[in-house]
Amino acid sequence: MTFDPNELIRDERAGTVGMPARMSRRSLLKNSLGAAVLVAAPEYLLPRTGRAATAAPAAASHFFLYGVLDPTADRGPSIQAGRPEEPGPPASVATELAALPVRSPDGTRLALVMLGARGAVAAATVSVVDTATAAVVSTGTLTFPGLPDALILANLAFAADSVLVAVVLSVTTPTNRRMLPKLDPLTGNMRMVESVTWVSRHVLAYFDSRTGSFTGPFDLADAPSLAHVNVAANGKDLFLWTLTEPAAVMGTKENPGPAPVPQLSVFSLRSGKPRLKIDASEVWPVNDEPIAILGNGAVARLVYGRFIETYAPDTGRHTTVTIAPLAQDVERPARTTMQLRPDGLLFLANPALGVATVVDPARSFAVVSTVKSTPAAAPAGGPQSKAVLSADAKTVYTVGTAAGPGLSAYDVASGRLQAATTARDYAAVYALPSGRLLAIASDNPRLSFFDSSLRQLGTEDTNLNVVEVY
Amino acid sequence: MAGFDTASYVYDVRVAAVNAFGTPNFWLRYFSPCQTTAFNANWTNATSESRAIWDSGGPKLGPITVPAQSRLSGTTAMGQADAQTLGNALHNTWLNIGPLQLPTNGQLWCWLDQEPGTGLTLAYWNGWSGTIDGYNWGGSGQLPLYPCMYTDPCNPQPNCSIVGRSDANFCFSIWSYHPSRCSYNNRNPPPWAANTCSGCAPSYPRTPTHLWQYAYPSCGYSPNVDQDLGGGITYGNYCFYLSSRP
Repeated sequence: MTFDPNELIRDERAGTVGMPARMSRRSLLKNSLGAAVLVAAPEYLLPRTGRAATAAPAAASHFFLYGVLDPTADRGPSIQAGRPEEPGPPASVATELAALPVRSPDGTRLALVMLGARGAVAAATVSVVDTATAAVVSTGTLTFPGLPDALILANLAFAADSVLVAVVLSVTTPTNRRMLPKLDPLTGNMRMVESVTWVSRHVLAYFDSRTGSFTGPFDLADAPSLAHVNVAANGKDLFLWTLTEPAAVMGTKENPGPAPVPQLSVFSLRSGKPRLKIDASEVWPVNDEPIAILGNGAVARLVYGRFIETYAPDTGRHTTVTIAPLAQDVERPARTTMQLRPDGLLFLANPALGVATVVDPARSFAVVSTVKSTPAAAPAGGPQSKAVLSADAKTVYTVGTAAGPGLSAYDVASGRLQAATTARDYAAVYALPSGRLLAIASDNPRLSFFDSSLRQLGTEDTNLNVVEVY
Repeated sequence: MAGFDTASYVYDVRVAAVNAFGTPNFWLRYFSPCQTTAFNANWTNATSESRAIWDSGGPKLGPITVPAQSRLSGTTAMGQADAQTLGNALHNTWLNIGPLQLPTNGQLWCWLDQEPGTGLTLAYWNGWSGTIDGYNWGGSGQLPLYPCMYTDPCNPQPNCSIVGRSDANFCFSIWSYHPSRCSYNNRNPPPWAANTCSGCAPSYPRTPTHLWQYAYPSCGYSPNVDQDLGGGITYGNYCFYLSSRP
């Protein structure tokens, strides 16, 4: 289906219509030149410390459970909110979510996105939740006329002010539908299979949670691309990694063409035209790579669980550092998590290796501490948080014990086991803003609360199959 | 027919694995989307791993993909995007590794990794499976990709109960990681006893198990490979193969 940016998307709340934004080579070069001029701008110079300045979430904050009520139902995931010190099951906040929620840098907001359809009109609704009250405080909807068959992925990123939410939508439309014969290996019979050529492009908008209005949307006109992207924002810019769809441009087996290189586009916030576009690393932005905005505005992207790429916001150029404690052979896949701490250090953990490490971005990601724990029995399964660092950075809590099930607490300074509980098998552990720990089990009661010495404080249940906790 | 799978680079583990357990018939490696080092990370790596596979004496390569596990509880669009990425990763690798060939039977089985603790929604599965099943290989009109699933059918999370539904897009095979048989290895494989949907989810019996991951380093051995056994089929026939050393 041809996409007509002139009748693109409407901001239903503000009633504005987004302007098309097709990039020409000329405008691209012009914007690149503009970026070069910005090199001299002092706000882009790297501070000596390079430490971040993220705020710790307020202690009174709710925790939020993202998950699925019924995996067979034709409905999206839901989110519930609860307080560890208040009895009763978590309460529903929203349903039909289309992406994982995103927490704001100051911890006071949670951004949600819902997708819907009304006939041939697709709609994307962004809601922002106050984490102290669990109430939706701002909502806006974009509508997409003329996209009855589109599949839409949503990617959200808060700007540093915790007010502006960048929304990157991957719009995938079917073309060239046809039926082709295919052998069924189980029966030996031929069957007819629907083959569709899916074509993806991206649309960018900004939701101002203070006014409830959108800037944009802007059609990035980048088809054919892979739908997957990486997105991050700092106080000035949005960073967007995309990849032209290789199979669409790479020729034949006999005469293969050059592989497309992932692109990093840098947009000034609220702009639909990149001020900078540059080849990124060759790592495809398809794995939900963890990203952190460092104190100097630079962007740290963790790839393949062992390398950190740091992108300079002024030039988009990057350097890569190997995190030695994580660069080990392992037979099992597991997601390495990366969390930016209020003190500016990065906490990384790989549960298959049983390694949790703290690195300092201001010192070329030098390793500050490393704790070796018993590897989790199911390191790659959800929810993904298998290790957390206490707020004072003195204790690492991990899923699993030497005996198998339970939780362990390790002293960071000595690496020694401090405490353990083996009563139940937990799938994940989270550090709540209140200082308590929340462990997730796959059976009832699914929520267990602990204090810092792993003394159980209580349990609670939820009807959600928990996928992630915020 | 026994082989290895690993989340490490094949060239890092090949010698130790072959020395310990003998020549494999196949290797299974991770392709994008992937939470660990991908075979297709770059073409230098893909070539180096292909050479190691050739040098191991078992020149077959099966693909598995491990998206962020939260996505498996997501939407049709997420499943479609993950499958489209996998199709591109496979096609791109095939295009650039000259001696890497599609299986002669035209069936490349693609495993979606559902780790223990991970859910699965019907919407995601249908988006993933439908896209893999109908993936038009380089626009050639060939549909060589077959959607399959790595899981434990006896796991309490939804797996057979999703892919075995009448309204689910097809799953051609299960690769089960249970039960373990630590006293065996690829020189002396165990008798076939992999978990099955028909055994553990009798209401959803339609998906057969053809591959079994029966031993892992947690059994107490050092090479960073899992050991796998085909059952009822010659699994290597459903893999890429190398016609020469790249």
